[in-house]
This record gives sequence, C-alpha cells and structure tokens, in this order.
Amino acid sequence: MSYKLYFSNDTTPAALAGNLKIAIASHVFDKSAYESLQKTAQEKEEIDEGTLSNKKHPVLLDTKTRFHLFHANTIVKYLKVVSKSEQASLDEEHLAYEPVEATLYEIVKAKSVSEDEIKPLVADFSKVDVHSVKQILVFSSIYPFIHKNEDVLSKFPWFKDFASSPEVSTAIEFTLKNTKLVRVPEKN
Amino acid sequence: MNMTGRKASKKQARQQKDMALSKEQQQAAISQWESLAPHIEDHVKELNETLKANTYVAGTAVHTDADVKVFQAVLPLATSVLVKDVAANRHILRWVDLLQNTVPGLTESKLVLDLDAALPREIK
Repeated sequence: MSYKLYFSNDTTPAALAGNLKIAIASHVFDKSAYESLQKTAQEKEEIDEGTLSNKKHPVLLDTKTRFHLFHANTIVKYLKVVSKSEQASLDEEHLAYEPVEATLYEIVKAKSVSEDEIKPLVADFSKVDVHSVKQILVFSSIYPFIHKNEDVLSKFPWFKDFASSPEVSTAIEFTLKNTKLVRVPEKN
Repeated sequence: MNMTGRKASKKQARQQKDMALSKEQQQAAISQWESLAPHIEDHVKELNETLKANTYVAGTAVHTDADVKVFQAVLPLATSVLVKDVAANRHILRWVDLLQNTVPGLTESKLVLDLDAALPREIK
C-alpha cells in the first residue's frame, strides 16, 4: 500500500507531540512512510479537505483509496499493525485505546507536566523499546514540555535513553526542524 | 429506476466502499473515533466533516461500536449546544437522528429536531 504522511502545520505543543509520534512511528515501522513524510515536509505540501487537512492534525493518507487518519495515536498504532517488519496480523488489541492516552491528552491540553505526573507514566519502562506503541506515545506527549529541562531529564533516564536511540534521535531532529512552535503569552 | 432499485444500488455502493478499505483500515477508523469519544467536545468540527462524507463515523455501511461511543459522548452536547446552530452541525444532527431512531436502547430521551427547518445551502 502507498501511504503519504503529513506533519501538522499548527504551532502548538500538541502539534509537536503529534508530529513526533508519527515521525518516530514511521521511522521505526515503515521507512517508506517516513520517506513520504520527509518529502511532504520538505516540499511544504499542504492538504485542506475536511478531516483530510493537516492544518491542525498530522495526517496519514492511503493514496489509492483516500482512506485517512488524523488522530496521531491511531496513526502510530496503524503503522505498527500494517508494518511488514512487525509482521503483526490484525489484532484488535494493537489498535485499541490505551488507558494512558487519557492522561497524556490532559497533559498536552494543559501544556505542562509535573515530575509527579511523569513518574507513574514511565514506571513500567525498565528498558527502552522503540517498537512499543505505549513508549512512543508517552515519550512524544511529554517531550515538548521537558526536552530543554536538564534537571527533569536527569531524574528520568528512560527519556534520555529513548531519545538517543538511533531511530528516535533521527526522527526527533527531523520533527524539530519541521515544526514551528509559537509561544502564546499568558493573559493576566 | 424505482425506489427499491435506488435503495439496492445505494446499499451496493456502500458495500463497495467498505470493500475498498482493508480490515485494518476499518478497524483503525473505528479505533480513531473510540479514542476521540472521551473528549469529543474538542473534535466537533472533525466529526461534522466526517459525517458529511459518511453515514457512520468509521465510513462503514452499518453502525459500529465507535458510533455508539461517540453518540453517547456527543448527545449532551448536541442537546445543549449543537442544536442551536443546525446549519453548522447539520451532519452530526442528522447522524444523531439516524442512530436514535435505528439503534434500539441507545437513549431514553430523544433529541427533537425540526426536520422542516430551512437551511442555507452548504458550500462544498
């Protein structure tokens, strides 16, 4: 199948989180999808047709059937399910809602995260597994808020280890280069 | 073409659309909307756009668990807010009306819609 991936053109932490998710997942699970993401990002290709719009969300598009997804977490799961390297046959569990998604959604919406919130999220991650959907989602959702904070990063070595794994570090660099973050001043 | 013929060809077109999607794609579309249901208030525009092109949220020929989950999440919002702007939310309201009248036991109190209300033509 032939997929095209598009980064979100939004300038919010939510857009950065979503873009990181699809960049890491495509780099890990489907190199041709990652290449398509590189192409659409470099050419600044935009689509704007209803839900098939990358203004606010990243998009995965099947160019043959026009099937598309705009929810970054589902794109991550879908890329894993259809990945040839994973050889994952369709299993509803692979696409099912992860309970951790609710917590991550609130963090991204609040645009901040505390150490106390991070602790339970990474407690199960004894080692880095870049093929784990849960690890990709947790890392990408929290990364925008702590990646410049050495103090917090030093307390959670899993973050540094995950970020420095070869497949992930390439995807992060590419995403940061192609996602513009604009800080909105807080109203008094 | 008579009424029965038109109904049959519509059903056939829907089935062909379903067949065009792989099993994984159908499941992913269902999963996407199940994931969005808990915070559907942030995705009203996307829901309306999706239902503009599809009868059901996952693009299937019949309703799925995703329709039920999104329906239950969006009904309070539809009753209190969306119904005040029928033109902007017409596809969601059409779908709410369809589900509440075709899926048994989905809701006790139905959303009342003025089906004769004049709406401005939608710009495609």
